[in-house]
Amino acid sequence: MQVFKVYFKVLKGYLGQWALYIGIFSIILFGFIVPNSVKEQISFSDKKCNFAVFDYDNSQVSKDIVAYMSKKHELKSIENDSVEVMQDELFNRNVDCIVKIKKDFGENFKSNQSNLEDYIEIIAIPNTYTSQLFEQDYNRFVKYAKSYAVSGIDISSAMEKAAKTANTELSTKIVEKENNINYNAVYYFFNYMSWIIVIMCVITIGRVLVIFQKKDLRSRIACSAYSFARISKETLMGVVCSGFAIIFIFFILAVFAFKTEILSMQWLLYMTNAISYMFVALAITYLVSQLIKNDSTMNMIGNTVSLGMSFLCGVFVPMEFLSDTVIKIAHFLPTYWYQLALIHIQKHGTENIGKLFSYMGIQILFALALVTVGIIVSRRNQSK
Amino acid sequence: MFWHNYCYSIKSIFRNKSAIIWTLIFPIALATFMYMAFGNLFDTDELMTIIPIAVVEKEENKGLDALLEALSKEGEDQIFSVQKLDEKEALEALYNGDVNGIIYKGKEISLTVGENSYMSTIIKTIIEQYTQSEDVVKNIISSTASEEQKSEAIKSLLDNKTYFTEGKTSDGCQNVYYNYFYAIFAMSSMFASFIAVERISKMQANTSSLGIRRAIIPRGKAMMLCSEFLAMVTTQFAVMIIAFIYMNIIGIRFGDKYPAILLILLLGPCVGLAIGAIIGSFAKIGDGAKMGICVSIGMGLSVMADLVASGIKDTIEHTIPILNRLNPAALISDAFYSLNVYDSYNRYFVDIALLVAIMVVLLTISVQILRRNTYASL
Repeated sequence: MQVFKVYFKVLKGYLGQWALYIGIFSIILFGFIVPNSVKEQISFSDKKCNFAVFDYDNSQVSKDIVAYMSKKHELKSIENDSVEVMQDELFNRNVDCIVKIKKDFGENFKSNQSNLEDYIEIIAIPNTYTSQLFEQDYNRFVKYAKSYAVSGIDISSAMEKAAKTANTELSTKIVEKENNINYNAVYYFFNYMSWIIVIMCVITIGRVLVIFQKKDLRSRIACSAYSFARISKETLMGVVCSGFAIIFIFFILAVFAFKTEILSMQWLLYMTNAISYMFVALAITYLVSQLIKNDSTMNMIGNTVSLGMSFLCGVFVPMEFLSDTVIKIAHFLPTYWYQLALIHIQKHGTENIGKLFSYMGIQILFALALVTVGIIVSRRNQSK
Repeated sequence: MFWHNYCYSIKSIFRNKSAIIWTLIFPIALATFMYMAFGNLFDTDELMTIIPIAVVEKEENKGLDALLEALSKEGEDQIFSVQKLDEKEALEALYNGDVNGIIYKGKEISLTVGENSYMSTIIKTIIEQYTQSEDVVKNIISSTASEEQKSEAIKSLLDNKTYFTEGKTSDGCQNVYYNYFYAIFAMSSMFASFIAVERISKMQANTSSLGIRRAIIPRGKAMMLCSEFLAMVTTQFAVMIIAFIYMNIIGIRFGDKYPAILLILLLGPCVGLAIGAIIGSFAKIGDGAKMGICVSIGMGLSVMADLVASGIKDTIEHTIPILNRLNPAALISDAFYSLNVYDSYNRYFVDIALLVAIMVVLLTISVQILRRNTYASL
C-alpha cells in the first residue's frame, strides 16, 4: 500500500489548512449557531423588536412607557446615544429602534398632554417592518394613556388602564405552510458544513492529487512494478479515507456541541446526507485537480466554487429568500439537493425516507458526473 | 533602471495569466453570486411594503370595513391591499403566499396568518388597535368623567396623531447585506498576498535561478524591491477597480465618494501584498506551505470581516475591539461602511491611518528580512 501511505504523507503537510477551516467553523458553530438556536414555534407569537432607551426625563410616566414597551419588545442596552454608536447598532441590527425621551416629558404629559411628539424621538432605519411595528405599539399605548388622562383619570391609573387595554390580544392562529420551517442549531450545523467540506477538500486533497499528477512523479511510478489500476485504487482509497476523516472531525465537533442529541435516527439521516455530499466534494476536488496545477489558482477556485455554491443554494441565505431565477439555477448545483435533503430531514424527520434518498441519489449522480468529466480532462491532458 | 524593472515586472505579472484572471474573476464571481442570492433581500424582506390580506365576512362590521378601506386607500399611507374572499379561497391564498393574513370579520374579529413574521404581527397590531379603541371608548363612556371630558377623550383617541418624532442616523445605505460586498474587497486585498509570495520568492537567490541573476546585478536590492512592489500594487489596483466598476454595474451602491473609495482600493492590496512579502521572504518554508499560510491569514481575516456571516465583525467590536483595529480586512470593510453611511470622514481617516500603519510595519519587517540576505556562493 505504498501509494496509499505516500498519499497520507503528502496530505500531512496540508493538515494545517484543515485546522484553519475547522477553527473557522467552530467559531461560527459555538459563537453563533448554538447560542442562537431557536425553539420550535407551534403557535403564533408576536414578533419582538430590539430597542434601546435614553430616558433623560426619568419621570414615572416615562418609566411606565418604557416598562410597557419592554414587555412587548426586547430592551437592550447600547453604549451611548452618539450618532456613531446608534448608527452602528442600528446597521448591525443589534437594535431596531432607539428611543430618546427628553426632559420634562412627564411634566408635560401630566399637565396638558400637548406636543408630546416634541419630547420623544424614535430613531430607526426608516420604513422597515421593525420600525413600523415598534412605532405602532408605542403610539397606541400613549394614545390610550392620553385619552384616559384627558377623561380626568389620574396619570398613574391612566397608564395602568392603557397597559391593560393595549395588552388585550386579538385571537390569532397560524396555519402550517409548506415552507414554514423552524431552522434549529442542528440544521445550521450541517448547513454551514456544506461550505466548509468543499473548500477543505479542494485546497488539501486537491493539492495532493496535483502533486501525484506531476509528470516526473507519474513517470517514475509508471516505471515501477505498480500497475495503473493498483495506483488508481490506492489513490482513490486515500481520497475517500481523507473524506471520511473530515466527516469524522465534524462528527466529533457535533458531539461537543450537541452531546446526547446526536443519538437519534434523525442524526443518522443528517450524517448519511453529509456523507453523500462528501462524495460530491471529493468529485469536485478531483475535477479541479485535473484542470488546475497552480497552488494559488487552486485556492481561488476552491473559494469561488464553495462560496458561490453556498450563496446560490441557500447555505448563507435561507432558500425561501432566494428569487425564482436563483432557485432555477441552483437546480444544476449539487449543494441545492443537499439543502433540500437537510430541509426534508428538518421538516419530516424519519418520514418519507424515499424522497430523502432520492435527494441523496441525485448528489451521488452529480459526483459521478463530475468524476466522469474529470477523467475525460485527465485523458486529454495525458494525450497532450 | 527603476522604471525599466517596473515595466518588466508588470509584463511578467501579466504573463501569469491564470493568477491574474482568477484574482479578477474571484471578486466578480463572488459578487455576482452574492447579488443573486441577496441583492434585493433588504428591499423585499426589511423595507415596509403594502401587505396583502384577505377578509372573510362572517358578520357585518361597518367599523372594521371603514378602517380597512382607509388603510387600503392608495397613497402614501396605504398599508394593506384587501381582497374579499370566501374562507376556502382565503386559506388557499394564504397557503400560496398570495396574502399574509386572513381577517375574519364579524362581531368577534379573529386573524389567521401563515407564519410568525413582522408582517403578521403588524396586521395583528393594527386590527387590535381597532378592537382596543372600542374598549377604550366603552371605558371612557362608562366612567364618571363629565360629558365634556368624555368628548375630549374620545376626540383625542380618534385623532390620527403620532406622539413621537422620527429620527435617523444616516441618509446612506442601511443594507446590512452590504457587509458581504465590503468583505469581498477585503478578501481580494488579502489574497493579493499570493502574487507577492510568488514574486518575492523569485527575487531570492536561494529559491530561484532568476533570483540568482538578480542578486548579481550592479543595483541595490531596495530599487528592485520598490519597483517590484509598485508593479504588484499597480496590477492589483487595476483588478480592484475593475471589480468595483462591475459591482456598480450590477447595482451595488458604495456611495459617490469616489476619491476616498479609490484610496481604499489602493491601500487594501498594499497591505495584502505586504503580508505576502513577509511570508515570501522566509526561504526555508516551501512554496506549498507559504500558500497555505496566505490562505489561512487571508481567509481568517476575511471571515472576521463578515465574509460568510454578517455580525462577526460587530461581535468582535463588542468583545475584543482591538482585533478589529489590527485586522486589515475589518478596517477595509469598515472604511467602505463609514463612507457609505457617514457624512464626516473622521472614522474613514482613522481606518486609513491604521491601514497605512499596518502596511508600513509589515513592509519594514519584510525589508529587514530581505535586505541583509547574503550568499556564500551562488
